[in-house]
Amino acid sequence: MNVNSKDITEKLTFREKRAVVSRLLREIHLLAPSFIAVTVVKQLCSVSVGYIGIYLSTMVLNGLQEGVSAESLIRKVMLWMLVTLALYILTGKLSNESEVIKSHSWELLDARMAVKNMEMNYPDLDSPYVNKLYSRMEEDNRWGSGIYGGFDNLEKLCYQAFNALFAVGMLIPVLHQLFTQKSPLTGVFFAVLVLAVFCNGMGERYFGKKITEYMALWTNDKPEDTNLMWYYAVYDGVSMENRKDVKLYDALDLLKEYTFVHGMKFLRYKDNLVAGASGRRELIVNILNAGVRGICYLFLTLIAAGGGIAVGMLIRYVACFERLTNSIQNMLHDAQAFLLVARRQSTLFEFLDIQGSFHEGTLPVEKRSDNEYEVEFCDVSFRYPGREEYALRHFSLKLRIGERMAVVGKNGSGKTTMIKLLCRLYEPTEGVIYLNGVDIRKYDYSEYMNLFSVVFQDFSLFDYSIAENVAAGGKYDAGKVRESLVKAGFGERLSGLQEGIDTLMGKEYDERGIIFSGGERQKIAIARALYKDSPFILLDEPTAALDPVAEYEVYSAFDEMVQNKTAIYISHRLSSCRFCDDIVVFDKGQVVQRGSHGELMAEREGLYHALYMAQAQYYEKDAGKKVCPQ
Amino acid sequence: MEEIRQRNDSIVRNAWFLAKESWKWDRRILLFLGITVVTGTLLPLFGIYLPKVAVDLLTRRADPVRVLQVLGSMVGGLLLLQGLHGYLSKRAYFHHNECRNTFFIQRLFLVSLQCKYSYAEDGEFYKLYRRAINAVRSGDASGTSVFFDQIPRVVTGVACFFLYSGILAQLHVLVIVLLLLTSLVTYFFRRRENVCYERTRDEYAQAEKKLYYTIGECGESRTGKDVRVYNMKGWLTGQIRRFQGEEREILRTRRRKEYETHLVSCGLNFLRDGFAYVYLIVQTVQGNIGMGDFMLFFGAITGFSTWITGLVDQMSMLKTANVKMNDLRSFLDIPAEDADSGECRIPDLPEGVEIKFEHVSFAYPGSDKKVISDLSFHIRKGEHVALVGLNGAGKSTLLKLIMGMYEPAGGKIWINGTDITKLRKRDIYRLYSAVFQDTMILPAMIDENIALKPKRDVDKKRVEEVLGLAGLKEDFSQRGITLDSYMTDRLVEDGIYLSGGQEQKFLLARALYKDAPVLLLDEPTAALDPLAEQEVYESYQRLCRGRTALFISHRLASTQFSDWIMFLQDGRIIEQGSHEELLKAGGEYARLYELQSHYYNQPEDERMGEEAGYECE
Repeated sequence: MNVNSKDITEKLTFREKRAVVSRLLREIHLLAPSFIAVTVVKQLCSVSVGYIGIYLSTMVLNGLQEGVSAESLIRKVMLWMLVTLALYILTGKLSNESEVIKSHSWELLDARMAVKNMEMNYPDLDSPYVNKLYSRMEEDNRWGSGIYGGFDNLEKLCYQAFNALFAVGMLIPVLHQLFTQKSPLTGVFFAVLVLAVFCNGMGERYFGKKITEYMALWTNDKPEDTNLMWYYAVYDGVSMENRKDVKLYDALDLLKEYTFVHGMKFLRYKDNLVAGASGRRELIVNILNAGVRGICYLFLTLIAAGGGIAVGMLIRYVACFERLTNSIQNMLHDAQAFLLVARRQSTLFEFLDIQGSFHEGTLPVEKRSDNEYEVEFCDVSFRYPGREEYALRHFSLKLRIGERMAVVGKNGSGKTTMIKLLCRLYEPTEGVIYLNGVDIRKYDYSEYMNLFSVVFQDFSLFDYSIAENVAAGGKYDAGKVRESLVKAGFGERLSGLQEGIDTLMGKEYDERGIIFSGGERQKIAIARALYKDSPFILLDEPTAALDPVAEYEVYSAFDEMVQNKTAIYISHRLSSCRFCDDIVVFDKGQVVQRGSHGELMAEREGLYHALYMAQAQYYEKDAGKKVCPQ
Repeated sequence: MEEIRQRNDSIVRNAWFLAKESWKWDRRILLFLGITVVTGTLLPLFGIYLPKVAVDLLTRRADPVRVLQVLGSMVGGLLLLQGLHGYLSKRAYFHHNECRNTFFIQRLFLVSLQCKYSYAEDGEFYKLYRRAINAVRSGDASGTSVFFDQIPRVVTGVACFFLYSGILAQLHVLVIVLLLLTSLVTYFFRRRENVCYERTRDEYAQAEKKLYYTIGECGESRTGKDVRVYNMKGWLTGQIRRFQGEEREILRTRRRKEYETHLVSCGLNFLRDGFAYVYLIVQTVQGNIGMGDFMLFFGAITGFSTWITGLVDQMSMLKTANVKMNDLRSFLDIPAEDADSGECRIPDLPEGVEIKFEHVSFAYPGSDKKVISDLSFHIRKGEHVALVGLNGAGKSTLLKLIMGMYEPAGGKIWINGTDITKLRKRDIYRLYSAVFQDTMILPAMIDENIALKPKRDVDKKRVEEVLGLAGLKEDFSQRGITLDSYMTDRLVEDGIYLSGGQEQKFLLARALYKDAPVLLLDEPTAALDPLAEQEVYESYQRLCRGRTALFISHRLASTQFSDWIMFLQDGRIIEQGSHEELLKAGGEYARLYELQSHYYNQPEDERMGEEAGYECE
């Protein structure tokens, strides 16, 4: 499956939304099997507490009207209040429990997403599709939804359902009475209640739609209407270092243009639309709610004035009617919200469902003590996803075991691409790469990768301890870590560190952490490759960030570093290639020359000669006079 | 950063500041919030008076018309108030969010751009900036949002507190005292909970930071390569679990405190309601109060404590938010760099620029270590000078001193014979075109990126011209790139990205467009292949003609283009002279040169010997 050609799902049909909701419920059940049970009991308790309160105060009122003695009233009150106390405490306990369950589920989800990131095919990780999913998920969570909202929605629905049930239960006597009386007023009353609920639902729906419509304006911006304020100010679109350029080139006006002017009118227009629609929705909802309460009071007081209802019961019924209509409204709202947020939840599911196929091979890699592994690229062509031009074209190359191979060529000639293909980060578009005569895709990925130690040009290290970084893991052999660091030329710096290999990299978490320079980081990255101790070692421009002295140190130690391993070494510094037995020259995705330094220099028209001389001219023995670059 | 004062203002002062600022942005915010305070105070009164009135009407056996009149007018009022309250609170919410999202973010960004550059390089300043940004970017938890949300509530709460006290005073003063006492106990426990929360906040933030750092790294495509190649999945998942565990531990402590508070408030509610029932039942049976009053007082007693506990919560939220408000204001206080004052104009500009350092020294603020010490040199008009030295020798700092972005701690810098401190910053910046290592390509159109000016101020013809001079015209027309193409994928999906070599040429075009008398280059070719590097150097060589120029490079190649070389070590010039002189002197420069030429000139390589006389084709 090629994820890159896919586009993100924007709109869902009702059926799809329903599918998402049921998937959501399944996921919730899987993440937290006890969540639903705990929620039901918790909401039952908390709803009961409210209704006991209503029952109690109105019961007292009735008792007072009927002239019941204070003593018996108080006894009854105390009994019910003890029940309330017990339920209240239980509710607290269960709320606590459900918070634990929820945060645990979120932890599981976070971890699952991280694992997904680490398992998916590497090219997908940076594909426009996945990037879009990412920014969409971020946006979804910003608006308080995503799958996390699913838990809360479920709790709310449960609460409202109990609320409605209890209200109906308590209203049974008065409903019976009203229906037997058959007063025309009763019909009007119920009609008004139903109308209020209906209008509320419609208003909710109408404005909900409007608001999503306006919000969508945010995401469909045209470039000229896009405001970059957040990009610049919050996400550091111009880094602190870049501010040199801003000052020198006086770029303030340009930045202001994109942050203060561009899209600002549009932004405020949209903000106003959303504020207006949300305000109007709130207006309608509030007026209807207040209206329901008012109508209940009016109607029931009139009925009671006719002698049909006791004073206490009036208050009770008003409260119950009010709660009933509210809970029906809220239930409709929450059910609607469940569907409305389905799209948001679907992004997460879409992300979790991304399939990876690169790492499905199962063959074990033959363990050889003599490191006699043979790697061959056979007529391999490769295009980066979404690109027209080929990065490698009909590329064939056989690696010689136990030898050092240097790869040189211009920027963009496919050197790094070759390494990425070899590491199965990408798959060839055409052609096959063989290890000992077998297609590398057929091998078990982690076993296969045990063969390679790589230092990428844009390697990354983590803000953990040096040792953890070198070992690429939490458990490590301290002696071996030190040895690798020393070999990589980090020894001197290491002995100056108080905490030694336990020194934290970066100051983010700990003031004692140390920010290492680019060159030092590069040495640590090399040490990581050495620690892994694989038969192949691949180095992509390992000295780019080093100054000449440090660079020289790395070169000099190179022999000892790689020992009897097969090494592939990419470099722009052609001087450094000369200690390799075998130099391969790349151009436009193909091998154009191969041989020793001497052989290649003999080909005067060749690319190697040109590349070499471009640098060597400055170091000629008689470099005293200025060379004339045209 | 000692010049930047951390504010420590009170909630009231910060609220006043916020009121003034938001008034400038959108007056509706304050107007709407003001009205919601009034409606918010009146609404709860309807809540406790409606039942009382209904019960009173019934017990007095009022006739239906009267019932309709009294209740009808109350209901009408309720409709109006509740509708208005809902409408205005929601609108105010959106408007104050906009104020936070745009107005304050804009102001912070502007301050960060306009302050002195020396601030921008200071890690401490960046921390302040992030703190200030976080104070306004964290949604409803932002400092400003909490202020806008909670302060009207506090005012409403205080008003209701007095109203309810007034109602209850009709009953007995002791009732109020009693309620205040129970509220005090709740307050104490809430406080305790909040203290626990505040105590663990940093720890929690730390754990959260580590957790989200790790989760974030798992999704980075740059990291993704190493994660797969070094099979770090198990380890990183373990790390995530570990940090989640740390988080969970803190949450557990907090929840325990919360639960304790819950238990206490259970008990207190029990006592309070029990007291209310007993007292009110007895009062009613004795005939001291009517049934309607029973409802009213019961509602007032049970409602009273909500205002108190509400105030406790609101004050604690405001306290947390106030820290953020102070972060915000401290940053907004940072003054803009004064670019326009200065006594002198730069003399003799048309003839070129000369730069002279006299015993200049410099140390970063808060550090004793001299990055530059006792540095003297003189770059004459039109000279090309190379600056050589190992990492950390002070080369970049030297450039910044020349550009007037840092002020020397000692010594003097002269530009065309005038002390740099006497010049207008704006004039100094006009002197230089510079290409730095950390290139700045903005999500804007090609011509805007060249001119670094908004479209209307761009001289298009000139942009075409410099693109041609930099050798990009052909590349661009081949790729179908016009002056109106957007760069980077920030604004359009298929935005323009340039290759390393093209980017260098692009920056060269930018420098050409500016046409400044001095050119500064800080290691511009580190990532280029040899041929591209050579090409770029040749372009620079062309550009330099007739200008003063200063190069920094690890590649001693660049030194060949210069009239003389400065070798910097530990902030001092240890060698100075032409390439040949320095080689002859056999010092550090010669050693470095030897290191790099080592492989190019190995004597045992006979073939190399043959090539030795080779000149470029």
